[in-house]
Amino acid sequence: MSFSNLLNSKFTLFVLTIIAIYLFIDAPPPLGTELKTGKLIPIESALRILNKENEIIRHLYTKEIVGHGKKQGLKFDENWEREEIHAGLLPAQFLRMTANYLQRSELPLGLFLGSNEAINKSNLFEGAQLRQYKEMLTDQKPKFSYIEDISRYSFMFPDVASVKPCISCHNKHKESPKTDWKIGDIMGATTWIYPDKTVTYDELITMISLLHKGAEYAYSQALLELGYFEGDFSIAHKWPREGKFIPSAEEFAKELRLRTAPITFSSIEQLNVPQNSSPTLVPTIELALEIK
Amino acid sequence: MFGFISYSSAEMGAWIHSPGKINLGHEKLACNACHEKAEGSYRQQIQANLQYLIGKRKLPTDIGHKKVRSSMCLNCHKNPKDKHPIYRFLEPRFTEARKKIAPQHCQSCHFEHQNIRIPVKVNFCKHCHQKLRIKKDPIDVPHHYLVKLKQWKTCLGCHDFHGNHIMKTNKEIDNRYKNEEIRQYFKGERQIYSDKKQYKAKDNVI
Repeated sequence: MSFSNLLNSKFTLFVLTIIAIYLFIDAPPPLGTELKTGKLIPIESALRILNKENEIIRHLYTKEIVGHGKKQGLKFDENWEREEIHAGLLPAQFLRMTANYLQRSELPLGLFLGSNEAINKSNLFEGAQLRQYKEMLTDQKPKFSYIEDISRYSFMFPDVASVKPCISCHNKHKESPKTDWKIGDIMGATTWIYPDKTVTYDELITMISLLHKGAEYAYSQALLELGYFEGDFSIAHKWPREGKFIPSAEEFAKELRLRTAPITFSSIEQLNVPQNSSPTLVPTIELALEIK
Repeated sequence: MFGFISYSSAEMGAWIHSPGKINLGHEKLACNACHEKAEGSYRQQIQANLQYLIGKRKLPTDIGHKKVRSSMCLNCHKNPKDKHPIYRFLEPRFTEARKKIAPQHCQSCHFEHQNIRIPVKVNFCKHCHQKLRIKKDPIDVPHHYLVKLKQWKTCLGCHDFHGNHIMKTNKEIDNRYKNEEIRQYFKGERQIYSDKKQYKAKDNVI
């Protein structure tokens, strides 16, 4: 039977009609809409907010927990995960732990830390990332790009030495390739990745909330190790800068929100997006208003 | 009697559908622990894929059952101290490694129903650790020397890739696990590192 004969056949027409009705005409509701509604936020703006949040969180952990904690006698070690070592995570590992938490969520948000002067050679930048990093060392500006093979937007931000514990540890480390770091130096870069070019207001709030939860999770892991010092230290609502204290998980979470809320709230205001009073942001807004 | 028949038929069903032996440690898992039903009816799924083909939808959708994704593995295998968490390989600098071994997916190294647990070559470390150099190297034959000699098959002789086994890292190259032992471990025939693990599957839900 030729193709035209096939089409002329009443039976074939009947079958095609049924298929067309099945597929198009009497259609059931379409499967899971992918359309984003409302005003969309460019991913660059969303990641700038997240990166600022992350800088504040890292500063909090590095200065208040590691810096002041060491002065009080707490220990921090790159091999903290070994069973026989009782010590807290180093700041770079704290970021990794946060990133690990992000990866386990449904949101395809990625966070990485690397350098051209990495202590661990496996963390050295390569290829396009190395070129971007070298440019960044010259112009000090973040680098936005698209990664073809995994279909992700990438935004790389300079990781600037802002507190003393960063430089003193990197300058002293036996495997460090550079030992003259000073405050203000770009020591590496933080890279964020996300698949969409834009995000909704709710997606942005979910991202921020997830980052908070990730940092809180990382702190809970540090606390499991620092708990071994409980004989000499009290786990309470006080901080090592006040004496032999380790802040509780709740205290750390509260301080994290207090420090990030004002800047995040003001950045969101500048985006001029209608807010739906998302419950996840309410504590942040309340804290920001409290501070204002 | 009814229970026995139901159990037997479920077992029989799994046996008929399963294309190969279940991996060590997964023997008690039900099929739907990994093979979840895809969202919607067949009709919706076919329509969604047609929409995708004519450009009216950004992504295709699974038909029948969801594709087994790494996130499903990580639901049970949470290891906050993982030395090589898959997410890290999404970083831009791993483009070349992704092209060669796709380490950003669990399924690139861990197969199921294939009668072998880890069906990859023992030398995969070469894709990322070419520049390895340790100033105060603790082992008798320095790491950079092994790299120079392309002794990539020796890495797993001392190091457990995910770092989940509680053990002391060997410092003498002659005492490492040999290739044959590693292959047997990959096949699921024997344990080589240690029976003690930092995190057991499903023991550590956040």
